[in-house]
Amino acid sequence: MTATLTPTTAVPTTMTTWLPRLVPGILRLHRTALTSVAVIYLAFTAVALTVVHQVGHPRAVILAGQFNGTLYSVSTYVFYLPVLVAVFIGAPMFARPLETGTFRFAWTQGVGRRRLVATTLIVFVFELTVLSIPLGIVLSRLWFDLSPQFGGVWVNHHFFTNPWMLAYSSVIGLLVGALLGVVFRRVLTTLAATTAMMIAIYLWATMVRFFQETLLWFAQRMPSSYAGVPLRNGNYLAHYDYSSVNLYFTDRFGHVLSYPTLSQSQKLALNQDNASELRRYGLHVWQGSLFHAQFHGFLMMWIGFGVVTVIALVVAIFAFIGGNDRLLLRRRRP
Amino acid sequence: MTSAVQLEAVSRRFRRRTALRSVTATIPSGSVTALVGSNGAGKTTLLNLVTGLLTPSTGAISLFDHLAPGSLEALGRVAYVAQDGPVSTSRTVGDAVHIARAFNMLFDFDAAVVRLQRLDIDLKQRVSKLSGGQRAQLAITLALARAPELLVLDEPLSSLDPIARRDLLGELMGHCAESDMTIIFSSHVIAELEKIASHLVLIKDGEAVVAGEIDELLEHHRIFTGTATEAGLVHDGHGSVISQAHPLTLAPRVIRFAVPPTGNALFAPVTLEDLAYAYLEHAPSGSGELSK
Repeated sequence: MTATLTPTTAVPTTMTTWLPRLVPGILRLHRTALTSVAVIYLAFTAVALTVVHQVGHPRAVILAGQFNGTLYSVSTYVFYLPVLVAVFIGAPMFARPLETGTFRFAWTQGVGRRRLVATTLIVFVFELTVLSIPLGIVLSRLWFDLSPQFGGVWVNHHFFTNPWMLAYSSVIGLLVGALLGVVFRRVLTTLAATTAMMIAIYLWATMVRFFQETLLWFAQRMPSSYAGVPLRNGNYLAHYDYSSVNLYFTDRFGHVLSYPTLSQSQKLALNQDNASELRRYGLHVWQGSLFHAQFHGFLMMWIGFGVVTVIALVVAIFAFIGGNDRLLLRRRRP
Repeated sequence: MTSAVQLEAVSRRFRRRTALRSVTATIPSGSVTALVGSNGAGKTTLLNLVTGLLTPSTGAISLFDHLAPGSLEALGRVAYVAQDGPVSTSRTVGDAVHIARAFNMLFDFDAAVVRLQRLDIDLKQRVSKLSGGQRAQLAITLALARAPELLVLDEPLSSLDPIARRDLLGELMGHCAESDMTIIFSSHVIAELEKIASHLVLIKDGEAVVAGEIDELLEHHRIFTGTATEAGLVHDGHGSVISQAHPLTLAPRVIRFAVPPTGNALFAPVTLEDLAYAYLEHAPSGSGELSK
């Protein structure tokens, strides 16, 4: 007994023919991952929107103080969303089918593996971008509008919770995990490697001396005011990170003049009585601008993510040269 | 007759291990080719090369006389049922059918659903909950629904019960007859190959020790039924000894002839099973004469 199988359509040649057909299949195949991403990002957006709504109340000042902690928590967690995306969405994306063997099914379908891989990535990139932007807008608006009530905190708005940074870091996190999955081809190994890679990126952007030196290069080119806070002669920018406190002394234009490294005793004295300690440096007028480590890393996050992505991409390409399979390279014609 | 698959001195290395050594063979269009070999002989590697999942270290493969395996044109005409993990196990059977339809412009959705219903496979059931046989049937259904010109099956019978095997073989024969589909399948169940296969490729230690049309191969091989004394006949250039089945008497058993003897009581016709075992157990590497 044989079922009759009759071709229903012609062989595709153009993108407009196969793309509308392929995307629903990818949505169905990656439904769980796509839904998880949407739920997490929308949940953060909902919490942030709730705060926005509450702050609009006449008792905004009181409520702002009340929600300050919540907002801070949301922003902090949002900072780590790219790590979650990299480890739990990106890493298994290709590592799992390569480990379980289901790639043999997917990569031998008529649409072709390059179209399949590229469209899968594009679908996730599109989703992450679309979800990051409203979340970033809400968070930025919160910090921007409410920064006076939050004591002039402005870094969140300028740095990592801005929509573009959020979208960029989320997408890069996805790509890092996905590319490492192609290289390692084992889920657990890829999870570990991706986690290590993301931690390395974050640490590099916050703790490494090279980063601090690079930060100085950027700081010297910063404007003479930040979010309406003018940096006058004798101002300083205190740079805190997990291991040290460093001072950037600025001129009257706000340009950084020097970058002294403080001894442990000086750091201790600065923490206990910064006014008298600063007088020792000849500072009679001072205005502190606090750089929190995770915030000031935004520039390095761009660079760090970019560097790591390029490295992962190159490694992934080389993994296919003479390896088991060829994903990205053109195959030889007979 | 055009060829569906042309292998020219194809070798494949995995770091220090060589899985295939200089395999040359032609698989004609419309044929059913059985790929037989012991575990680790290189059958799956060969199938992965044909489907473009692997690329040869040396040599060349062409499909339908001009297509590169894995190219878009080839993928549109070739369907592959892999041995393990054929489809995503985290989705339902229905999802798998929808996904396969989305990934192929040529896909008969209704026929796939009808076949699955006939096999009592619930579309709402998760693939991970299916038995090994049901999973294999699902993968075969998805492949058949693509109406491929070349169907590549890696151990399709291994997880099926005897009735399902019989039905599947009958179904495949039906497809071949209706659509001139070319089928390549690897299998250990040699006894059942004879029912469907028209061509045979025997792989031993990465080398194709024999390949060709089964009827022709059977015609050129005989079983020697005589004694050791009488065996002198076959050492006089009359044929090539493939296997020594009687170690004490050294009487040769399966012998290949360029011109098969007729009317000789010492030689009996060989079955496909005899021939396969003879080559797999006894033939030295490189002893095969590959037909074109």
